[in-house]
Amino acid sequence: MRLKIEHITTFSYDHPISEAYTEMCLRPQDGAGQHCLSFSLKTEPHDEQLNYRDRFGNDISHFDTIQPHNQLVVAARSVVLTPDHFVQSMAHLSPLDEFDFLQGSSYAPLLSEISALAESISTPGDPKASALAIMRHTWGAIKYEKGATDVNTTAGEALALGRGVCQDFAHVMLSACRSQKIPARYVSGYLYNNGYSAASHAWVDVYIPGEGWLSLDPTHNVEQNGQYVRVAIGRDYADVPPTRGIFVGNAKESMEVSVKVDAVL
Amino acid sequence: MPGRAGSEQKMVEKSVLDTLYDISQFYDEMFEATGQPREHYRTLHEQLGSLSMEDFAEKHRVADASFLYQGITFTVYGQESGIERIFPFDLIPRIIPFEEWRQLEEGLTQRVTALNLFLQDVYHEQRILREKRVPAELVFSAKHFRREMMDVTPARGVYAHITGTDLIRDKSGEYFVLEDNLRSPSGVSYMLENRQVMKRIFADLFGRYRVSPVEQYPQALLDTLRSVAPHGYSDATVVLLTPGIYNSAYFEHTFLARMMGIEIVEGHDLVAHNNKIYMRTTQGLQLVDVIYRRVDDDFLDPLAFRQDSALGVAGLLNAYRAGNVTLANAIGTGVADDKAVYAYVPEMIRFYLDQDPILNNVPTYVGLDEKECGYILANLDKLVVKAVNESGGYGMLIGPHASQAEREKFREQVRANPRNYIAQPTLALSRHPTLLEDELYGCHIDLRPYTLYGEKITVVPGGLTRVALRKGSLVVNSSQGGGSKDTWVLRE
Repeated sequence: MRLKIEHITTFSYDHPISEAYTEMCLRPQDGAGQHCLSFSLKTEPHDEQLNYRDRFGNDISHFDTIQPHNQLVVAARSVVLTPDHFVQSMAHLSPLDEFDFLQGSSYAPLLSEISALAESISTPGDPKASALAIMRHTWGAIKYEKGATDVNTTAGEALALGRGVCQDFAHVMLSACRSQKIPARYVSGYLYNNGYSAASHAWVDVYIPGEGWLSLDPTHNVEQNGQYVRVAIGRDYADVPPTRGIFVGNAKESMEVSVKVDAVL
Repeated sequence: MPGRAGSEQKMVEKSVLDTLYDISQFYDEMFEATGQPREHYRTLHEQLGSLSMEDFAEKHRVADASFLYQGITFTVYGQESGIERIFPFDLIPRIIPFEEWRQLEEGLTQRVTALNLFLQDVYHEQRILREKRVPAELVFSAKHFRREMMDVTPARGVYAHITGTDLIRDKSGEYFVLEDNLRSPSGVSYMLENRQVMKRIFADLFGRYRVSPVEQYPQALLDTLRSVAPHGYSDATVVLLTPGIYNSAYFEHTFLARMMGIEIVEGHDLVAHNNKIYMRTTQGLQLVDVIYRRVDDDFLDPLAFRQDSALGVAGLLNAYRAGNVTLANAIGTGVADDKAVYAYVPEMIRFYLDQDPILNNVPTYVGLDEKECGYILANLDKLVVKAVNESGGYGMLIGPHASQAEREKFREQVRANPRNYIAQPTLALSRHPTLLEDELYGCHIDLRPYTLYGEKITVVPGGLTRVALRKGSLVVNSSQGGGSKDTWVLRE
């Protein structure tokens, strides 16, 4: 599919602030069948951006503003061609990936209750079947509900609560897969939903030895298809928030995000 | 007590040498096992024979006053009163013959070269891990391994511009490396001050030895820092970044900045803009090229590392990544001085340089290795167990001197988190005659030479000899009752 994305973040301050430093992880990836046909990232106030690639291969933009301001707008616009099936074959993982994607992480810690559950539904020696079973189980164990959890909720808390959003589904599945020694990574991106709700989304890649990465969405119990746009990967949400920053000034910050994903011909 | 060999000095009624001195079973720096002074100590030995305890006490008062007057103090954490102290100083210098030093210099150069190649490798291709010469898990689980440094290449590919290597000698007198300090090694100001005081107090004796100078250190450090400026400017603006007056080494920060003639700044004196670092001055913003930082990685940049840090500069990592500023030492060097990674430095030397190590490691058992962990647990009464991320003599079990309860506590800790522990045999550190409570006593010592790496590697001839000023104590750290001595490296 060809999808057009507009992702606008507005930071507002109740008093002018003097310095702000912002990192943005917003550029859709190129590779594994996905093509980012165009991308623009504009900030207001405007200043020089530094683009670099982080340890996971994500494109990060950094910029600062050192003039007084009480609003900061970050607008990312892109057109992306997505593949019907995600394929990323890879015979071996790098030593660092093998380590990072098997470790517990802050949002997806290795917990005995999740591990026991994952073991009970896994098929020993068949990581693909196990991952699919874990996806199905996660999908069934959590009810999608906005506002039930927040940006700090971890896998254990979400599972105990039985409610959450895509991020929570992903973290539970990450914990479960890693507990079964299946390397798993967090994917941050967008989901096209025929113009309905949707927008920013998160799901999970699992590594099948000798084959490569398989991309699974536990929120919907499906494999990644043409409606998914991949932006970044990491150990969990903490590695890939779309924007993060700090500011200097005695003010209260509020943030507003609007994301639109449309199909284009 | 060994006799006084033909001294031309005035005879005193009771000299320092007339107290009972026990050479004991350790390697003594001054005396052979027979009680004769070693050749390079003979002149000093004669001089000692001509000095009474009162003479020494007088010299000591002059030295202490000089240290206090210059404000050479350090901070002891966790004490109720008077945490500012002068660093205890012993007047009897440690002497290292030329040939011995040449070996050390070669060994340190080799080791620092390999450690830098290791850092370059783990933050890029990771060859040594792919070839399983060093366990990947050990490196990636190190507290100071910084994923942010992956594929970032510092100027000239140098990571550890300043290294302070801790060396000890065993019973036979062989030198061993105990620790590689690759983050912000401190203590060099004491090396410089000790020398200044000794030259004044023992002008005569100093003149009778051909001692290599150490006074050039600040200039050599500045040259090193300039040589790694982002665009090779020889007139680069270099600043020293300090955490501030509450840091235990603040005296050293001001001292070094003054000696180099550079600005000392705190985080709020710097600002990042368009991926460059500027210093706020009365004339406006001034571009900074090199930061000699004495602030830990965690606190350097609240955007990249600890958000609650008020000591750093937001945006610093990205200015660094963009190649517009050099940090000395680089971010992430701590992965190579993790106490468990240390065990693999000889392997690094073989892997990168295809050489045998000139300086050996102390035998080390790594908790992460199942077999070695078993050995540690079975021999807690014989070993020294150390937590890998603690320093200054904290987080340590000295097995033979510990109580059963203390050993059991460590057993639990090692079992719960084996990655976090290493163990070494109890070391018979060499001893050096030292004045302790009005008598000559053999105190245990170590040696921390400083190695600079910019365009090339240089080792300053000398270093900080730390001395355990409690009888029988093996702990030389200043926070645990240690002091220092001047270190005289003899010229050819």
